[in-house]
Amino acid sequence: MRRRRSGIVLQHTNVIRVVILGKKGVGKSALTVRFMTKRFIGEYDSSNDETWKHIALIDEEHVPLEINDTTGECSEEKLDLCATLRSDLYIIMYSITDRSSFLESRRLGNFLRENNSGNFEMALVGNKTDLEHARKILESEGTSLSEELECKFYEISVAKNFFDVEYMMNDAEPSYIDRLNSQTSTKISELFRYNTYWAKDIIFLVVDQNEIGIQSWLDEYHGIQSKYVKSSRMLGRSGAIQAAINLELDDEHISSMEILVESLNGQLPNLDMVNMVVRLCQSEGVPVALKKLPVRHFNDGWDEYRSSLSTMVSMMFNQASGRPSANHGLFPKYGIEAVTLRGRKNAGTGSVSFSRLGRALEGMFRSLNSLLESFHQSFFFYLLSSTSRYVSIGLYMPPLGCVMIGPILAAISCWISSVEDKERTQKDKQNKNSDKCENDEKDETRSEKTEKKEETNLEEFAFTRIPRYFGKVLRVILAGHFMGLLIFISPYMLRYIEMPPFDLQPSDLVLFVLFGAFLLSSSMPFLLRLTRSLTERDVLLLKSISLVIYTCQVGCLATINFSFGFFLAIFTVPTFLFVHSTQNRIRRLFQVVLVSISSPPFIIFLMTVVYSYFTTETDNYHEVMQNSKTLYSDGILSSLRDSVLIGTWSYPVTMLVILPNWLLFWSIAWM
Amino acid sequence: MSATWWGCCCFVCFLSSFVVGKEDFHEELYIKPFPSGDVLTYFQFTTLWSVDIRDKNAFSHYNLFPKSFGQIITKYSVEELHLSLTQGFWNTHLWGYAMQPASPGAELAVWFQDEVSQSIDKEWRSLTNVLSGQFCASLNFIKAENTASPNVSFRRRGVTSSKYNDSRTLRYSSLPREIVCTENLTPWKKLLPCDSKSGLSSLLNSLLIYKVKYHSMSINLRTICEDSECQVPLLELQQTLSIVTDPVLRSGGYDWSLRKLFGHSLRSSCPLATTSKVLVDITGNDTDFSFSLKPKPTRIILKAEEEPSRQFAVYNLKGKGKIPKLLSSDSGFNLVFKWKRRHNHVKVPYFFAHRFLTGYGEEHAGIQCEMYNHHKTASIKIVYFQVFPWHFRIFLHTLRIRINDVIIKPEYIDYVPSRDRERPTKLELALAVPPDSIVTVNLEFDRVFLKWTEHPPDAHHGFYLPSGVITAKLISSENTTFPTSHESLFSPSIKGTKTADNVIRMYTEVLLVPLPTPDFSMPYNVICLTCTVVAIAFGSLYNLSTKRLQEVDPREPTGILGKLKQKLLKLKEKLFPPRKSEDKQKDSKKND
Repeated sequence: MRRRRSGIVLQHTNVIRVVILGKKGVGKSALTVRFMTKRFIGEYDSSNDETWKHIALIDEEHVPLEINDTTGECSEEKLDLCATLRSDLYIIMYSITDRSSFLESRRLGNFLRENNSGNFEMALVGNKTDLEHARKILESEGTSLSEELECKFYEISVAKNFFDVEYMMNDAEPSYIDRLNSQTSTKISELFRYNTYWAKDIIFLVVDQNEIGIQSWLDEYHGIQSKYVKSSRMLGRSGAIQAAINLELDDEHISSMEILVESLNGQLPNLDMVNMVVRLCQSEGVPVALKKLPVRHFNDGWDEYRSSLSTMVSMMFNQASGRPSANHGLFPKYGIEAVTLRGRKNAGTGSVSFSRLGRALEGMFRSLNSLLESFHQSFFFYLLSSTSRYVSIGLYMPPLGCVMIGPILAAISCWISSVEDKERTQKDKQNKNSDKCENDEKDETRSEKTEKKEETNLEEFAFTRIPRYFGKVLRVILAGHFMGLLIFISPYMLRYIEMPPFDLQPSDLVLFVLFGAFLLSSSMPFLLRLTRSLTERDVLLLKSISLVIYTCQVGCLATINFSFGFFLAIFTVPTFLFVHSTQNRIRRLFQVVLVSISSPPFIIFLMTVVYSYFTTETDNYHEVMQNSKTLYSDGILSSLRDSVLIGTWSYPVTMLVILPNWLLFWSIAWM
Repeated sequence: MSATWWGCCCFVCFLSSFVVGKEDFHEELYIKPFPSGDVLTYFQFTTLWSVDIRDKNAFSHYNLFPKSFGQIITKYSVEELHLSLTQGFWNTHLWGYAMQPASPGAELAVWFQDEVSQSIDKEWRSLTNVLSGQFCASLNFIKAENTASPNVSFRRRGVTSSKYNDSRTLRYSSLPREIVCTENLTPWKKLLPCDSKSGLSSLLNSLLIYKVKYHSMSINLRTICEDSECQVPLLELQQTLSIVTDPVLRSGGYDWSLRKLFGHSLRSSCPLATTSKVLVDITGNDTDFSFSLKPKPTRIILKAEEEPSRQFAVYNLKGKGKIPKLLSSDSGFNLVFKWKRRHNHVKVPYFFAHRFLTGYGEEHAGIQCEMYNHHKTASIKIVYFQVFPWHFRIFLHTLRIRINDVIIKPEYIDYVPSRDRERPTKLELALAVPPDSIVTVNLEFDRVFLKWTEHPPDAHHGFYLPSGVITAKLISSENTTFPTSHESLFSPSIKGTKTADNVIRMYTEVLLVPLPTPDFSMPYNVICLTCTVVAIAFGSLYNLSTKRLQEVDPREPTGILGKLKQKLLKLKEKLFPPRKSEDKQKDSKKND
C-alpha cells in the first residue's frame, strides 16, 4: 500500500486575474470602471485592451486584482491568447437588449470551456437591466446558458446600481483563501483515500458567506426549512455527524495554530475533543494556542499569571457575546462537537511544514474514526486558561453563587420591611377604630379586639401571603416587560416602512430606532411619577420582586452561558443592591448615574471599549474610542442579524429579559 | 479384489443416486468492472437436488447438499429461506442495482410450510437460534420485537404448493447492527462441497476479502422446476458472495487481476462441480478500445435482447481447452485486466432513493425518504417497506407523501403500530413515482426514553433504524449489474432469449439514531448535588414559608433566674393588665 504523506503542495497565487469578455458595447469597460471607482461612464474610447490593477476589499480582506478589459472584437486568435493566459475568473458579458451579444457570449463560453484546461472560474453577466422595456433576452435563457456553461449567472445594471456590481464581483471572485482551503481539503481527501481504516464517512465542506453558508448546509442536511436562506436539494448525506473540525488557513506558511472553541450561545465542545486536538498538534510539533488578548508587558514576575488571566478573560468575552467565534460554532446546536483550527502566521517565527499539519489532521480524524460512542462525559462546562488548564463548573459556580447571595438577602429584607410597614399601618388603623369604639361599647368590643390582635399577630411576616397592594406593583412590572417587548420588535417594524427617512442607511436606521425605543422606555419612571401611584412601601415590594426576578435570571443565564451571567452579575449587582427610594437629592442623582451605567447599552459599550483597548495596540485614546464605536454599532447590528439568521440568543435575551428588569431598577432609582 | 471394490463403490453410488435423486453442483464467478474503477466479484455456488422439500424422508442421505443445513430446514419445515450477512452499503449511484441486494448487517426472510402454519412463531424463534449457531451470527437477537411479515414487498422466488397466498407463512427480520467477519465466512464456506480446498472458493482469502468496500454473503434456498411442466421439483441452494473491491486501495492503480484481488491465482476447479465458469462483463469494449483481458476467453457472448446490449467473456474452467491447462500449470489461472482508456463517466441510475434523519436535539426526530425518478417518460411503481423497532414511536398522522412538494395519498398502505417491547411498527406503502419527479416520504417519531437496564453497554453509540426496502418495477435492465432472471445459473440466462422482468429491490441507508441516554457516570454527582440543593435552598425556603418570625426583645434576660423573673412578670401582667403603658408606646410610635 502506498502512502502519500508529504504530497501536500499548494500553488502560490496571490494576484487574482480577471478577464472580461463580450461583444462590443455590452458594457465591459463600464463595469470595470464602475467596480474600481464606483462611477458610471457613458461614453469612452474602446479601442484598446486595458489592464487595470486594483486592490479590492473582498470578504473583509484586501485582495489584489488584475482586471483585463478586452475590446469588443474577439477573433479566434485572441481567444486562443486569452485561453493560454492564466486567468482565475472570466466574466462573459452580454446585453439583455441585444441577442447577437447573447449568442456571442455562448460562443465565448463554450470556447473557454473546451480550450482551457486550467483551473478557472467563469461568470455570465447580463447587463443593462435598466433598459427593461427593450429586453430581448429572458432571464431564464441566461440561467439555462449558465447551466450549460456550468458557471454563475448574474443580471445587473452597471448604469443604475453600484451595489449589484460590487456584489457580483465579490461573489464571482474565487477568493484566494477559499482556494487555499479547498486545495488543502482536496489534498487531505487524496491522502485519506489510500487508507482502508475509515469506518466513518468524512465530509469535506467548503462554504461561502461564512456562518450563513454553514447554517444553510446544516439546515438542509437535517431536513429543516429555513425562513430566510433557501438551500438546494442535497444528495450526499451521511448519517448523524459526530464531530466537525473547521480548518481556516489564510496563508500557506503557518507558524502556529490557534484553537477556537466558543460556539453559538456560549456552548462549548466537549473538553475531550479539545484535548484531543491540542495533544495531536503538540505531538506532531505544531504549536497550538488559545486565542488571547495581547498581554501588555510589565517587568514583574506575574507575566504567566497575567497571560492565563487574559486568555481566560478573552474566552469569557467571546462566550458572553453568544456569537460563535468561528464557523465551527453552528454545529453544537445539532449535537455535533466542533472546534476551529486557525492557522496563524507570526512574524519572526519559522513556519510549520504542511506535512506536519497534515499528520496532525490525519491523527484527529483517525481518533474520531475509532470512537465507537459519541462524546458524552459531562465536560461541557469549563473555562480554559491555557491549552492544558481548565476551570471546571465546580470551581467557577460557587463564586457566582456567593455574588448572588447579596440580592437574595436584600430581596428578603425588602419583603419583610414592606410587609412590616403595612403591619404598622394596619395596627394604627385598628387602634383608631378601637379608640372610637371604646367610648361606646367598652366591654363588648374588648374581647373582639384581642381576637383581632391575635389574628394579625398570626399573619405577621408570613411569606406565603400575597399583600393586597401586590397588584399595583405587578402592573409596574408588566409595564416594564411591555417596554422591553416594544424595543424588541421595534427593528422588525421597519419592514413596513417603504423608504427610509432622512436618507439614512438601513443599518443606521435600525440603530436609530433601537436607541429611540430605548430612550422612550427609559421615560417609564417619569410616567410613574406623574401617576404618583406608588408609595414607599410599594417601592420596597417592587425592589424585592425585581431582585428575585433578577436572581433567577442570572442563575438561569449562568447555567446556560456562564460568562454572560457572570459579566451581567458583576456589572449590576452592586448597583441594584445600592438603589432604593430616597428623599435625598444627591443620593438620588448618584444612584441614577449608577443605574444608567449598569444599563445594557452602557455595559456593552464598556465591554467594547475594554476589548478594543486590549486588542488595538495603541495608547491613543481617540483611536481606541473610534474603534470601539464601530465595534459597538457592528456588535448590536450583528446580534440582531444573527438572532434571526443563525439563532443567537443575545438580542432576545437582552431585550426581553434583562432590559425590562433594568427598567424596574431605573424606576426605583428615580423614586 | 480392486475390481470388486470398485464395483461395489459404483453400485453404491448408483443406488444412492437412484434413491436420493440427482444432485448437481455448479460454481460460477462473475466479475464486473464498474466505471468508477471499483470491481464487483460475485461468487455463486449452486447445488441442485431433485427432491421435494416437504418429503422429510428424502432428507436422510446427502451427497453434495450440506447435511447440517438440510437437517435444519427439515426440522423447522422451511419452504424458502433467504439469509444475508453484509458489511458495507451498496452504492447504487456508482454501481447500479445490486445483483443480490441485501440490507447492511444480517437479514433473514423465511417462508414456512403450510403444516406449521399454526406454530410459525415458535418455529421461527427456534430456527433463528439454530441458524445463529450455524453461522456464528447474532441471529438469536431476532425476536418478536423486530420481526414483521410484509404483505407485498417480499414474494417467494420459487414455486410453491402452499394454499396461502398471503404473508402469513413469511417471517422477515433484519439486524442492522450485526458486524460480519471471518467467523461468519468459515461456516459458510464449510457448506460448500469442496469447502475452500479447491475450485473458485479457494480464492476466498479471508484476510483480503474483508479489506473491501462492500462484502455480502448470502444463502438462498428455494424450490424450482426442472422442466417447463413442473412435474419434478428441484431444490436449489444458492450460496453467493458479492465483493466490491477498490483496486486503487490494493495496488494504487485501477488495473486488477485475480492475484491482486485475492492474493493468489486460481489453481483448480472443484472436482465435484458440474460446471465451473468465470464470466466477465465486457460491455462497451467492442474493439478492445478501453481495456484488455488476459488470457483470451473461451468465448464471448453477446446478449442483444436487452435494451442496452451486453457482452460477456466466458472462461470455462472444465473440459478441454487452454484454460483448464492453465489451471494445472505452475502459474495457475490469473485473469489480468488492464485499462487502456478509462472513461470516468459514471451513469447514474435513473431511479434511486436516499433516506436520512431529520430534525435535531432530543425532541424532534423524523425520517425522510426521497425517491428520484429521472426517467423522462416512464413512471415507476414501487413498494416501500419499513420496520421501525418499538423504541422509535411512530406517528402515522405525520406521514406525508409528496410528489414534487404536492401531498398525495398512497395507492396502498399497510400499517401495524408497535407495541412496547413486543412488536415493531410495520409500514408498507405502494405508490407510483411519476416521470422526472421526486417522491418524498416523511414520518416523524418520538425518541423513547428506555429503561436504564435496556441500554446496551455502549449506550452512547446510538440505536440503528433498519433500512427501508424499496421494491420497484423498472422499465429496462439498464444499470443492473446483471439482467435479473429466475434461472439458477448464469449461462442459461445469458443464452436465453427471455427478457428480464426488471423487478429490483433496493435498500436505503441504515440510520443511527441517538436516543436520550442517561449519563451513567453521573448518578453520584447528581445525588450529591441535589441533596445539597435541597438542603440549602429548599430547607431555608421551607423554613421561611412555614415558620413565623417573632421579634424578641434584646433586653430579655437569660439564665434560669431571669426566666423565672420573666414568668413572674407575665403572671403579674395577666393579673394586672398594664393598659396605660401600652398606649404610651403606641403614641410614641405615631410620633415617629
